[in-house]
Amino acid sequence: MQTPVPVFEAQNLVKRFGRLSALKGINIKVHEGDFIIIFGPNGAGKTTFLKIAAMLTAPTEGSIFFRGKNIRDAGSSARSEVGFITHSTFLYQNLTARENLRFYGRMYRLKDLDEQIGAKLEAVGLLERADDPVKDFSRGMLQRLTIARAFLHNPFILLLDEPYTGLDRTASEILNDLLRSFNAAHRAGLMTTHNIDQGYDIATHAAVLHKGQIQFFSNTKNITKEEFTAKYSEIVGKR
Amino acid sequence: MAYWEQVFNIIKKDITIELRAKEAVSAMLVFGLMVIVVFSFAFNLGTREQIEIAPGLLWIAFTFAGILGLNHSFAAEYENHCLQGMMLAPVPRSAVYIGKLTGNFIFMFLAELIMLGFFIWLFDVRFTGRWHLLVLTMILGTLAFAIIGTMFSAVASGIRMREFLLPILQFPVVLPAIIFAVEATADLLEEDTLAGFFDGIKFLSAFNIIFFTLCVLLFEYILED
Repeated sequence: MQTPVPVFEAQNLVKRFGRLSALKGINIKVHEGDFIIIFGPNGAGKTTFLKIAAMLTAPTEGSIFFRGKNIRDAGSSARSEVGFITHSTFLYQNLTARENLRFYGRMYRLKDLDEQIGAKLEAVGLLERADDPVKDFSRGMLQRLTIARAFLHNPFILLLDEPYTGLDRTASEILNDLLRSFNAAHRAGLMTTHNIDQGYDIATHAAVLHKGQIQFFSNTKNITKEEFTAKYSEIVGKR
Repeated sequence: MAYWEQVFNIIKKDITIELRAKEAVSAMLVFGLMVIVVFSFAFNLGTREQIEIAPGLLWIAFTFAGILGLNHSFAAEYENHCLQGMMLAPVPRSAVYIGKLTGNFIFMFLAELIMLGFFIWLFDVRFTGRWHLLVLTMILGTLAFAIIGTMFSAVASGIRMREFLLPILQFPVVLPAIIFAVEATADLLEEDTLAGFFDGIKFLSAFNIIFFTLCVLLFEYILED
């Protein structure tokens, strides 16, 4: 039986900023249906790793593969399969919620764009504020619109960088609902966080990234949250 | 076709934001008009001297005002990291460059047209029968400024001291184009032959073609940190 080709694969990723090595040889495979959470303390290299995975920055060494194709060859087509949620909203203050989503939707060349925008705004509870400028939105509303933007093009692989940071309760619940539907659709997710209480329950695999290296990786079926927490403390060290 | 739809999408977004915020054009206009007023008081010259000095003063006002607009251009993209949002999409980097360049050119050219009217009124210079050639010079000179400026404003926009860095990077490169734009404008004010004018236009055209090609090719590397 043939091994399925991973949706996403990082091979020996190294990233250096001058003399500082942020990543020291990361290897990870994400298959369809996987939801991998990478836990790590601040400065572990989580954001750098996800920025490379999102093709926002190039690794110093190593390669990224989407569906077995090196991103250097896959070009911009691989980007249409990736969604990214990070601390930044990527939203233009002087555009309305609808205009922001329309702008990004056109960048992804989406069909039936107005219908999709309406559906996503409804999913995050912002349909009534669709034509208000984003600069008038509260922090929570901005976060919900950010989630709508990331899901707008129905990405196959979702990258989430500390997605719960600063989220209010409503936005957290919306994100959880969307992630559950995302997992049910048998897609693939890669999330980074420093908080074990966030997301462990929906993860299929959990990893610990520390000092630029994956120090531990396991299927969550094989390790309980408590055992993982103990392992994490052992690797990272209690403060 | 899809490529140009994405370019148009970026231009439309920039125009919508500018129409709503009215930041770039108004800042360029206020600054440019102030420079022209100061010049009009500083140089109380006779007609002959005025004709000699006017093209230089006009292009100084254009370039100083243009720098303000360019500083604003990518600063808006860095707010909320919108540029990264654009980079996530399956859009060729050159489309982003051409989109931003076109927006910058439109805003600068609009501000320059108003500044020109004000300049002609204060300095009493005449381009009788040569308006179309003046507009051609302004288009080529402004395009040269925008081609280089868009590239360097992308370089400088992620840096804390971008307001200082942009002119330092941009002026040495764009200076030859500005000099030829000044000379071409001066030729239009003289009454004799236009031979020198067309040399200036040829230089500006060649400058624009070469640097536009270079910037389109290099922009991808500029955006990668």
